[in-house]
Amino acid sequence: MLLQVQDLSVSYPQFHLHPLSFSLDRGEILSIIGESGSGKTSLIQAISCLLPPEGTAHGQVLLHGEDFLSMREARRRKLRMRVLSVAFQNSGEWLNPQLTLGQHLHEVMAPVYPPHVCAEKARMLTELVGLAPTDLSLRPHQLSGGMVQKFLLANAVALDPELVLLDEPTASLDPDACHTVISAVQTLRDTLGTAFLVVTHDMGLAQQLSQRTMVLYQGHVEETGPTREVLEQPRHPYTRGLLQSAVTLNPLRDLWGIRPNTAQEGPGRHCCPFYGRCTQSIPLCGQQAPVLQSQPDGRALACHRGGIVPLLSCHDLSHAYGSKQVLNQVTLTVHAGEIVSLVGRSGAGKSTLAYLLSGLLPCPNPSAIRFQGQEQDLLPLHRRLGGIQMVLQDSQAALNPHLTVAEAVSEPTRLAKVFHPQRVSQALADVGLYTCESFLARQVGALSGGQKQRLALARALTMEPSLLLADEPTSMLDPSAKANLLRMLKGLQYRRGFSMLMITHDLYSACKISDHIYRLEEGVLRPWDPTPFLLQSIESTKEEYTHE
Amino acid sequence: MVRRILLLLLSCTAIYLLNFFIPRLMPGDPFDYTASGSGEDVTDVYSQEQKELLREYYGLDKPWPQQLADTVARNLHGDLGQSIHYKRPVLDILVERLPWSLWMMGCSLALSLLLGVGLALLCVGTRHGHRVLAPLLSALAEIPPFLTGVLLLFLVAARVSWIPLSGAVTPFAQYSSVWQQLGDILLHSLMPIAALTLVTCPKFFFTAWASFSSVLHQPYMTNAKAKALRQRRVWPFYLLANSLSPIAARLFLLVGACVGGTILVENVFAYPGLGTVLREAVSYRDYPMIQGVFLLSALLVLVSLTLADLCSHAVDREGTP
Repeated sequence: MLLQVQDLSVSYPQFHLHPLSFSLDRGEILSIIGESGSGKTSLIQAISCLLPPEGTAHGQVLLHGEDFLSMREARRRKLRMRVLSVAFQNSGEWLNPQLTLGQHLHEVMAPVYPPHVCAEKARMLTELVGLAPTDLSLRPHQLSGGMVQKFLLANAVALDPELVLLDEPTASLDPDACHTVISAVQTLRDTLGTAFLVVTHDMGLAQQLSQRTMVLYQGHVEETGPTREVLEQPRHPYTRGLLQSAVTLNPLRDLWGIRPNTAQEGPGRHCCPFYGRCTQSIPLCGQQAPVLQSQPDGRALACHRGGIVPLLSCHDLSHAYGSKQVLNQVTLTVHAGEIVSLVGRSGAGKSTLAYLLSGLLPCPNPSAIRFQGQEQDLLPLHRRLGGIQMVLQDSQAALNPHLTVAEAVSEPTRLAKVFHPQRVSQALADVGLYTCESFLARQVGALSGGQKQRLALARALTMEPSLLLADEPTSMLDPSAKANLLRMLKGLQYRRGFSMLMITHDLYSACKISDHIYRLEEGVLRPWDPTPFLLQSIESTKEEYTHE
Repeated sequence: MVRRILLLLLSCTAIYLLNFFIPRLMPGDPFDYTASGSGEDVTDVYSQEQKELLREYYGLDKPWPQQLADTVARNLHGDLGQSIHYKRPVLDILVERLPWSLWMMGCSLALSLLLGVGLALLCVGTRHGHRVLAPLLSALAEIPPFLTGVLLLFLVAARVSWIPLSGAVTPFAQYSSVWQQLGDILLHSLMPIAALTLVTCPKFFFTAWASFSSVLHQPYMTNAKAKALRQRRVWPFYLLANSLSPIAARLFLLVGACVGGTILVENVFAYPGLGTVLREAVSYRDYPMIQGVFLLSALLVLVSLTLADLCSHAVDREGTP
């Protein structure tokens, strides 16, 4: 085995990289994904034994079975560049301002190769990474960011090392240059069997380069597995959040990052690092950090809840009105923290499905529906905090027009005996309604359509639902009110972290805010990929313009 | 660049004017002090008439604007005037004395530079070097040069018989070869140079140490380690090459400090440079002589400050692509 990292940890006064292990063989590419500050660069520095003095590394880094960390620097120097080399994160500061690029390469190669080979090799290296041979006479301050990045790669592979650690190799490159660097890495792997450890926050790069991926968050490994599987079916909420935040993977959707930390920092307690941002955390998550555990299929995951939790699921659910089969073996899962949209023509059975899932319509086969992984009586869930709440299409009909705003909003909490004025005013403020006395005393019937819809939403929010079922929440609204409500819904979901099942016939809205879209057609539910639809609509818009 | 030259000319003018007025603001005039001021046991006091005559001869009876105009006109022709005490042209005396001062300054600056940079390298190269060197050198830096000179005189020169106590050469010596003469000169300048070096060297040391320390924290030093470069490559091409500019700027800045130090040290060791001339000229109120020495040292300092300025300017330009 070329590289074996065993229980490697790094401690800084302000930061800890918690013990992690992995191994890498010849010709393999492993990518480590994480946001800035996740400890990616510390990991590279620890493996290459280049930590700044204030950081200390523990554990083992075995290169061909020999511990790189504990050997003498003189011995390590013989392995550097020949067995292990580092291409640092893009910055001209890694280069000596007094030397030209040619001199930088020459000082590495001169002790190893005879002079004429050095010159030839330098030319080949520049070609490999996409620099011009004349660039070799430039000094670091004359280079653009992209050139520095390419040169650092050329420099790292100058002596054909067996393993290269790449720190953000494409961070400041344009797409063409990116492509050059990726193909350079692939060429080296294919011709020389070079192994690469790629540290990046660019999902697209990981997808193109690596066979395996490790997801790092605040010094903890959250998930590992084959790149394709991790990116297509993330199991950790953090990985899913990262994927949803990647522009390259979601070119057409409205972008939302991972929600900011909502938990107060516990005093010195080592809790799950994602605790405050996670939408499915339980008290245990705030008390201790989960351990990375291998799963039967070879992936590994660190989550107390065993990965992203299915909040509401139905399996082979069928329903008929008399002899008319409305739903035919429908299987649907809404995970924690997701927005799922259900689209289809009017009368396709969308509302039936919603009523079944909310328990408002008695289900012929109750065991088919599970809430939080358990078979439950669904109706009581509407009357407790953290359960299910519905927002209906016609709020006009859903709200008693003779109640005052205050009465309407506080009704659910009063019925559930969890009323608290703070809860009511918070919910009203969240949906953008007034919280003043005069508004609270107004009659519901006197409100506008948009206000009523918001009021209905505020009513649902007072119960802090973990799942919000929204049945055509925007169909009665004018375009501007609709856009505002959609953005607000998505924003609320982002901040509060609940899941939402939205039933709509408006494909565009669904595409804008949903994580997953399902289409119901003649009683059969299928996942729906919006990309062809969106591309087509973009095309037709373009055509309209060209015709005019 | 134009601004820098204008500034240089402006400071030249200011210094020139100060040079002219400050000696004249001192109590007394050249003829009150001619012989008695030196403490010699000769009662050679000018009579009132003689004084009047001498004042007229040297042009000191005229009102000061006239004196200033005359001085400027003379100086622009390269004539620095006649020394009242030495009774010789000021320029001749300066030309005669300057080499001794320059020799002392040059030697001690070069020595301090080598010593300071060397010690700073020792400091960053060893683990505990700075624990001894830093306190020692900061103590040295705070001792005024004349005190260092006096201490050296008493503690070293007075005890070691082959080290001369004063002067630049053995009086009335006959040399059999140039080497013997050079050896004599070297031996005489040993103590003054040592005194000046002891004071100047810490300044180089701290500049170099700070410069080395900041370079050592630069990412390219980490990269040098990652590139498995040898120490003999890293030290000259990475460490020294990148820390030279502040040290060079410091060298030029220190020329000014060195001029002051030279004047004090020369007086301690009775070394025949500009310092001893200046002391005598001041005590005899020898206006032209004072002006001449001050003008020369001011020019020296200004030129070196401008060089220091250019040096750091070059560094800035290098930093910005």
